[in-house]
This record gives sequence, structure tokens and C-alpha cells, in this order.
Amino acid sequence: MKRKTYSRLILVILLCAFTILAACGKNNGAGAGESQTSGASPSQTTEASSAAPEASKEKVTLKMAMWDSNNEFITFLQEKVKEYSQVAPHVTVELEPFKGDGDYLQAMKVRSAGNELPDILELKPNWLNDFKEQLIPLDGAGFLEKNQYASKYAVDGKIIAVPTVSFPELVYYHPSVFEELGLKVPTTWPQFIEVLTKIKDNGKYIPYAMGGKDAWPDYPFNEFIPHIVSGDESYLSNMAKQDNPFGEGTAFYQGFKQIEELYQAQVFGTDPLGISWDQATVLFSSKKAAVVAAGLWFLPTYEQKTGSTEDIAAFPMPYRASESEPLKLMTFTDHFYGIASSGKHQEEAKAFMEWFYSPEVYQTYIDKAQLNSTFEGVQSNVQFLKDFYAQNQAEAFTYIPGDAEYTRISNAIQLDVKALGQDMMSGKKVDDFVGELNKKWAASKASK
Amino acid sequence: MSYTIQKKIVVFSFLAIPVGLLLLFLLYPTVKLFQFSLTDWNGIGNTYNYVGFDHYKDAFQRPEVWNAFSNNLLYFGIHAVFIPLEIMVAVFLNNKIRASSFFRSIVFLPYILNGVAVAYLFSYLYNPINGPLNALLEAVGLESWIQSWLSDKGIVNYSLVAVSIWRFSGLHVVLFLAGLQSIPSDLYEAARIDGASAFGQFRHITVPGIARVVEIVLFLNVRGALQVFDIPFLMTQGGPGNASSTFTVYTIQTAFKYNNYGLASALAVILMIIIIVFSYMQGRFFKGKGD
Repeated sequence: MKRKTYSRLILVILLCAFTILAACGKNNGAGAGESQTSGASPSQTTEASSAAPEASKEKVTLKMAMWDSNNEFITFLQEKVKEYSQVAPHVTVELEPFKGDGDYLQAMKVRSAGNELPDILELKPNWLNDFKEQLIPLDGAGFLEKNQYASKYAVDGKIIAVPTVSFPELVYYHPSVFEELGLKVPTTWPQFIEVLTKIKDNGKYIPYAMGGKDAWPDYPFNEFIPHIVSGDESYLSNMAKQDNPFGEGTAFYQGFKQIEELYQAQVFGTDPLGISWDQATVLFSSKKAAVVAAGLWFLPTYEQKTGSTEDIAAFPMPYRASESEPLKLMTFTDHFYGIASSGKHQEEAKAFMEWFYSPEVYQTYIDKAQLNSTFEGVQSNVQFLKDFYAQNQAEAFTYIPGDAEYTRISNAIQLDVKALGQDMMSGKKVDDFVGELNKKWAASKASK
Repeated sequence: MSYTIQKKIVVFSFLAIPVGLLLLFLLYPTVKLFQFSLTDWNGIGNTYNYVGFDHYKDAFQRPEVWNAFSNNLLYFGIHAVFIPLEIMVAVFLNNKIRASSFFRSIVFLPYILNGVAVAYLFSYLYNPINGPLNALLEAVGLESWIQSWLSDKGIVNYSLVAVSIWRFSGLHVVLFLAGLQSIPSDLYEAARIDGASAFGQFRHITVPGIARVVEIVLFLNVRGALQVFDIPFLMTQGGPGNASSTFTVYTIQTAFKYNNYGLASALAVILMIIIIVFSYMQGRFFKGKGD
């Protein structure tokens, strides 16, 4: 009995000792890694003159938060930011990746409340207004000189984040399916519905893979159509100036009526609201569905799933009613990076951004993201995109998010156009909710 | 140092830590929550204005809040209906049936599973593409019963309540079982000698014997039904549209999706008050019964 107790005691001691040693070992390992990095630093070899002052500087760790659903891209960026230690040996950049923008946004809001934002953070354009007090103005920074979009997204006249990529919103399709069914790429809204209906009537393929369970995949319709129908890039901000922006005669009403027509054609398979986006992409990638709409960001996902881009092509979403109208291509600007005002190392963060947006480094970012460049002098190398532009002539239409007033009103009335899209897919009519929306909007607008 | 002072120091130092922790992690956040409910704070900005009780008034005027609340009541109602069934299962398991301990473990198993895992498990079961539930119905020739379990607005809440029942019934059964086992067997013996029927024994010995447990289960039901969050949030995000939103899902979305921390805090305070009132009423009800 006693022997048993002793052996247990020894086992516990051994376990504790092992844990402590393992923990120490890890620390030592990290230390060794750090010294290796600084040992391999080119600044010591190629810039011998600057090495001494750099080494004497206080060690700084910059935290950088971002999200991406693509693991490969996250790994790439983690390795890329580490390279900065070769340029500035006293600075280490730590990347904190998230897999989805929803989790990411929630985490950033909580941290913002606790004044614990990372030094550098990624944002979507429509979050800029919310975070304007948490970001420092970047006006005058060298890296902004060649950015083509930054000024378009200025908040209260100040540039607070750098748009890093831009990409068109596309309708992807399988050319083999179109060929098999004798279909032509649609260029108007009636043609689009007609093509999808023909695929449905044929019965072999699901016409459109809608992951309606997640709400957001209907954004090419419910979020973008009223915007593009209005013909005004600042449509959302201008909406905030109107008392009744949803009723008949408005871009919202016209756009949503167009969407209603599409949803009533029932071209999304048997249960579009029961399928998530992941399932929808599987349906499309496995050629069970013929068409899906998404940004250019979908291409790497598709390539990962199928291993090639042979049977995929794209056309601009044909929002227009007839061919006499210009065909506009919704272009989204994303991956905005800003510097937190609560950060203790703002100068180092700016210097890092200067390096990050230098043509050599930025080119690798764009190549890996497989998206369009936002900087003059840096070109995207995505062959798919080059082919797309060669085959489709369309006018670029930039998505500009709503201003502070739009954000205030839409948050107050909890306007979620994507959830409205879900409602419409389950049979709700536009006329059933626009009146109520107008009432709420006007009341909230007046309550300022 | 006198013995009395020593005693006081010991008592004070032993109490200081738990009381301090209670103040820090319970009272302070509650006071802060109430403070935020009187402001228009967006959860991100550095400034906010006091708006009085506007959010409380607003909360009661929003149809979405009432819709969410009615969904909560659905969880409560269906769970309450299942309580007699749970008692029956507990009585059954309390008898000396073959492998009863194995069945006791089985009924408790869903409760110890992680909520996220349960949500994903049922999302898979309800899946419209190759979903096992629809496949089963098809295999047994009940194709007409196949439904859009999570996407039909009229069905989605029942599908979610079924998950909740599956998850929590086991806990209730185990609680009832504990109540049943606490009843002394000589009471039943005496009743049998006096010629009481099985139903008579159940009515006059078992039911009063487990009244305290029924009260606990009802309290858990009220609290659980009002706070139900993980199942709808993970399985439908309150959708399609707002069809399966619950009070807590609506509160979370108000705070994090629509940046309205003031209203969300007011909703949280309202929920807290509702739970206190319900629990108090329930306590009074049972106390009255006991007397």
C-alpha cells in the first residue's frame, strides 16, 4: 500500500518536473530562434553601418491582426512579416490570424473596448466609420502616394487605413455546362434569369449554388444590386439624406424587385436556405451546380478544391435591364490596414507599413492573394483576371460604404439586407417590407 | 493580540477574497451593465451620451424582440411538456431493470457533449444534401415527411427545440432519478401494506418526494429557455431572416452586429429581471404547495 503511494508520488513529481522542463525548453527554443533571426539579419551583413544603432534600439514587438479563410495565405503572411526583422532587427512583427471576418470583428470590438487593439489591424471598408476613433490618420505617409483608392475611403477627410487589394465581383460558371446545354453568357438581367431557368428545366445541374443558410452569400444580389442600379458609388451615404429610401421609385425598390424576379424563378435548387456557403462551393466545384457569384477571392478556394482552373470562367453580373445601358462591374476594395491609436509603437508600425507597401514586398502579397493591386506601378499577375478583362468589357463601379450617418441609421433600425434576402427566398415580397422599412428609417433619421 | 482580534482577523481575511471576487466579477459588471443600458455607447467609440430609459422603451416596442421572446417561450413550453415524460423515464430507470446503470449513463451522455459539437452534429443530421434524417425517412418510405428542417420558417424552431430536448432531457432524468432515490423505501413498503395501488404510491409518495427536484428542473427550464443561445446561434444564426432568433441571440446581434451596446445592455438587464421574477414566482408557487 505504502509502496503504491510512494510510486504515485514519484510519478506526480516526475510529471511536474517534465512539464516545467518542457516549458523552459520551449522558452529556450524561442530565444534561440530570436538570436538566429538577428544573426541572419542582412542589415548586419549588407548594412553594416546601420547595424550598430539598430542593435542598440529597444526591442519592439508589433502585433498585426487579420483574417482570411485561406490557410495558405495566412501561412504566407506569417512568414512574410517575419522578414521585416531583417530590415529592422529590433522589430518583430507577430501576426494574429482569424479564419472568419465575423469572429475577427467581434474580437476587435471587445479589444477596442478594453483598449487592447493590436498595433496594426485589418478592416473591411464598411467598418472604417466604426473604428475611426481607434485609428491614427495616415495622411502624408509615403506609402499612400501611389495608392489609387485610399482617398476614396477617407473618413471625415482623413485617410485612416490603406486599401490593399481590389477585385471585381464575378459570376463564375462552368464553360463545359454552358457548352453542353447550348447557352450563351448573359449580358442583361432578363437573359441571366433565362439562362438559369434553362439550366433548371434541363434538370441535370442545379442552376445557381446559393449558400443561403449563411445569409451573406446573397450579397451579390441584396447588397450590390440597389447600389449599382442607383448608378451612384456613394449611394449608401446619399440614402442617409432621404426620408423614404426604400419605396417605389427608389433604387432600392427597383433593385429588390429585380432580385424578387430572380428568386421567384427558383433557380437555387430545392433548399437554398438549408445549404451553407461551404456546401454551395462544393456543389459548384464538383460541377453539380452550374453558376455561383462571388468576388475574385473565390478563385483560390476553387483551385484548391479542384486542383485546376480549366473548367471555370466568369462574366460580370449582368445587372442592367437591357443592352442599351452600360454594363457595370462591381469592384470591391478590401484588406484595409490601419494603425491603432492605442498602440505604443506607432512610429515603428508606420515604418513597417512603409516596408510592407514597398513594390517588392507588396508584389508578393498581391501575387499570393491573387487579387488586383491598389498601388500604381504594381500589377496583378492573375492570368484568370487578365483573361476575364480580355473577354468582358465592363465599366468599373467602386463600392463605397455608407458614411457615419448611414451607419448610425442602419444600425439603429438593424437593417440587414442579406437577412432580407433570406426572407425573400422563403417567399416574402418586397412590397411586404418596404413600407415598414421606410417608417423605421424616417423615425430613426429624425431622432438624431 | 487578544483571541477576539485574532478571530476577527482570520474571519475577515478568509472572507475578503471571496467577497472581493464576488464584487469584482458579479456586482461590478452588473452595475456597469446597467450604466451602459442608459447610454448610446456603440461598443467601439471612446465617448457616449446618457439617453435615460429610452432603450428600455425601445426594446418593448420592437416586434423583433417579441418574436425572439415568443421563440424562447416555445423552448420553455415544449420542455415543460416533456417533464412528465422525463419523470416516467426516471421512474423506469429507478426500477431494477436489466442494465439500468448502462441506460442511466446513456441518457446523461447528450448533456456532457459540448454544445458546439451538438449543434454541428444536428446541422449534419438536418442537412438537406445527403442528410441522415431525410435519408432515414426516405429509407422507411416516409418521403412525404421530409422537410426543410432548418430553412422552413414554420419548422425551424421546432427542429431547434428538438435539439435542446435531446441535449437537456438526460440531465433532467438524472436529477429526477436522484430525487427518486432519496425517497426512503419504507414509505413504499408501508403504503403497500396499507393496500395502496401503484398509482396511489406514485401520486402520494413519489410526486411529493421529488417536488423539490421538479422545482429545480423548472427553474433550470425557465433559465435555460430564456437564455437559449448556442443552439440557434450556431445552427441558424437566428435565420432564415429572424425566424429562429431568441432573446439572447437578438441581444448578441444588437451588440456585435449593429454596434448598439446601449440597447443590448438594456435587453440583458430586462432578461435578468425576467429570470428573477419568474424564479421568485415559481418559488412562491412551490412554497404554497408545500405548505
